[in-house]
Amino acid sequence: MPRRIAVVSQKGGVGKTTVSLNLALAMAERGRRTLLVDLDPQGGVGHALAKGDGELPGLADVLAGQLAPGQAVMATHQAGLALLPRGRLDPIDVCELELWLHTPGRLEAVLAEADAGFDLTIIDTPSGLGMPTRAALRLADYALVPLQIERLALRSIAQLLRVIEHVRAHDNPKLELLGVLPTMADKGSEASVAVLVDAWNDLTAVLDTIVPRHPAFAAASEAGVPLGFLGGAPTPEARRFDLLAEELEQAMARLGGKELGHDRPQRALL
Amino acid sequence: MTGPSAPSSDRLALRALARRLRPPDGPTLRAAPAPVPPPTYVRLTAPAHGSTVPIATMPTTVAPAATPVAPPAPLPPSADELSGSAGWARLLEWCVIDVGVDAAILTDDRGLVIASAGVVDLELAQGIAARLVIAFHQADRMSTGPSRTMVIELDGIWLTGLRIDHGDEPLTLSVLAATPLATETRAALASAIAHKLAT
Amino acid sequence: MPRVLILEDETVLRAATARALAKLPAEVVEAATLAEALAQLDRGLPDVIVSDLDLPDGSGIELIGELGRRRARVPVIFVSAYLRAFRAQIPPHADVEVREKPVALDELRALVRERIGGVDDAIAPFAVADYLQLACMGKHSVAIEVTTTGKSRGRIEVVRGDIWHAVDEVGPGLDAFRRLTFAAATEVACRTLRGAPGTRTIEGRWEALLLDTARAHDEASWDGPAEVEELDPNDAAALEAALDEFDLEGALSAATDDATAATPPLARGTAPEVPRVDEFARAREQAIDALLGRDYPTAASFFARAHALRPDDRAVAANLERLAALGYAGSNQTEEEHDA
Repeated sequence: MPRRIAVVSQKGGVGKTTVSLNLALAMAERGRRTLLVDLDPQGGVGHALAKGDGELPGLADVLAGQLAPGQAVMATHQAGLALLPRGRLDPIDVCELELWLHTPGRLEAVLAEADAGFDLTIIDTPSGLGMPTRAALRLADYALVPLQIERLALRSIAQLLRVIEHVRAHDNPKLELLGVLPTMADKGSEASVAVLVDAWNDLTAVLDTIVPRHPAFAAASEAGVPLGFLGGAPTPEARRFDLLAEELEQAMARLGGKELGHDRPQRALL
Repeated sequence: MTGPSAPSSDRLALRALARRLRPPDGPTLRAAPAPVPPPTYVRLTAPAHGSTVPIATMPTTVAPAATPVAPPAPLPPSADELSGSAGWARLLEWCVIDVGVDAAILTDDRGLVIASAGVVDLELAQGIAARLVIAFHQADRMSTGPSRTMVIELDGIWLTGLRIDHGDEPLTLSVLAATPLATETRAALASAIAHKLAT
Repeated sequence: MPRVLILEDETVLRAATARALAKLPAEVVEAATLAEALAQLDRGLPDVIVSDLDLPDGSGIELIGELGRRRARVPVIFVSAYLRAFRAQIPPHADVEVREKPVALDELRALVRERIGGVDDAIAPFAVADYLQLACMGKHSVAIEVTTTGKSRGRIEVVRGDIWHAVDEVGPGLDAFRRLTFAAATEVACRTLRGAPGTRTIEGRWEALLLDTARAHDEASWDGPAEVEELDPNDAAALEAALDEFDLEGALSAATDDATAATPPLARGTAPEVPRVDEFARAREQAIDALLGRDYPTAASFFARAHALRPDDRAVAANLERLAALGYAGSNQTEEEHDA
């Protein structure tokens, strides 16, 4: 059974999908077989990869009975990284998808089949505290919370933490807060530092890695690729996600549990 | 210690929530977090899909947070690691990094600093430590024997004071953290300091 | 308490680094510009420095020069965004560590923690070749001023990472560069080069130039026939092959050892101030021991000694003040003996 990380935030535009995508790539590059799941009814991961709404079969197709969960998982050009897209969902059916996610056991069953052979599953969610987020938290081992470094975000993070606490107490006792990841920090800004200092004081699990604002992110988004796949001179920002991957693995080890990648079944070489 | 402005009750609630959800790194402060009145909410029950039953509202009952089962407290460094003059620094460093407190200061009974760790504003911290020594002197007068432990909730932070015997005049360890220091951790600290003094 | 100086112009990174290092039993001091850092050095030498190489008002390498000028040995950890491109390594030097950005903060903390304890005695001073490597790898513009044991003076200029010009009392150009790079030097200073660069008198890739000079130096110090094979600095293929074969690191560290060994006894009198750091720590230790033994007069006297060695250590100053308030005036032991 893979470890599952739900990437969640209440506010939009904090960089959830960017973090999910680049972290998944970094983990795969470290040798962890990783499945990136797009639980956003709007299909954020697909858009980040410059794919049109009807292009990638995925979860919606499984719901429609047209694909088995294993068939909906697609390989990528990165060894060890696979994608379970949102699927070819008609926008008028978003409510149906959300209700399906809300029904206990549905997503669990599909995901159990889809991520069976992987070391790590990263679940990207839409912003907000609604059904997709709830569903992801119900079956995740860890919650990773990107936190945009600005005043308003810090004021509202308490709401998300309350939901996490509730899910942990009632639905999913194994859920742990893996870390709060500061994002979109303005490198030179005193105002950013002031918000960061408050975050450090008020919150406990703030990660050391900080994702700054950087033109590389827009460029990658424009090109429809993760940072590491962008052409031209390699940007140090891609390495930042290697550091994040390292830091998260250490955090997972500290929170208890086996190291990633130990559940391998015995294989024959010949 | 940082900013001058007093944290609002919202921030205190956030701090308590964050520490319940994820104790500061390292298995640490198991003591019950400061009781902060939770925000008032109404509760909803979800309507059956497509039904016209009105949504029921219930008065505020915030379910008590499940107490996380914390892993055992970390062991202090060995006697070997604590030997020599660098040992004081090592012990307090253990407090800050492994136990996860914000700051720790060890003083003698006159408020003279023997070692400190995690302290950003030295003057402020020394002032606190010195006054804690005085508070202990007051506490000694409340009963016949000496007082050993004191826990004070300051504005936005908890101060745990430990008294350690050392001849005529004890040493005092002041620890600043988001919650009071757990009993086991206090015992481990006091014991480590006592051992070190004995060698 | 040991002190760590962080020199970093990126506000957020500086704050995050300070927070990570504040967990150590050390006082953390921050600077956002080279000027601020130099001002901090005036206030008191830190025990460890963590510094960016690229600052708005100069290069972090100037710190090394400044420390050399004050005859102080302080370990420095450089963090820079531009190191990946270079194959050649900085010669191993116990005082200097270089890391490429972004760096994991817990790794940085571990590096600082190792160095807080104090400086190893047996370290070679920072030599010309070391400055050159740092400047060239980081694409800085610096002037390296050298005073040799024979009292002759010379200068090497690096412009944006290219070895540009060298001149000594004999003349300018590549020959001067060769003479200066491995000369036995009593003083080496490195300053940021400002303004438009002058005439270029040296061409070629810096790795090749250093390699070439190192080989010449290496072979010249043998007893055998000095057959120095001249490499054409512009022949890229030959240089690649030669670079692959030759142990540049080994040659450079051997050359650095030679430079140190050649320092005459007179220069040792101006050796880096290692004792200063140890003396402060020792005085402080003795003060704490006296404190624990409740010998307040002795404690005061040792705190006074420590205070004299490092006036800006606030923990020591505060204890001294408090002891004075309690009636134990601290003074240097020599004064006490004088009075008695």
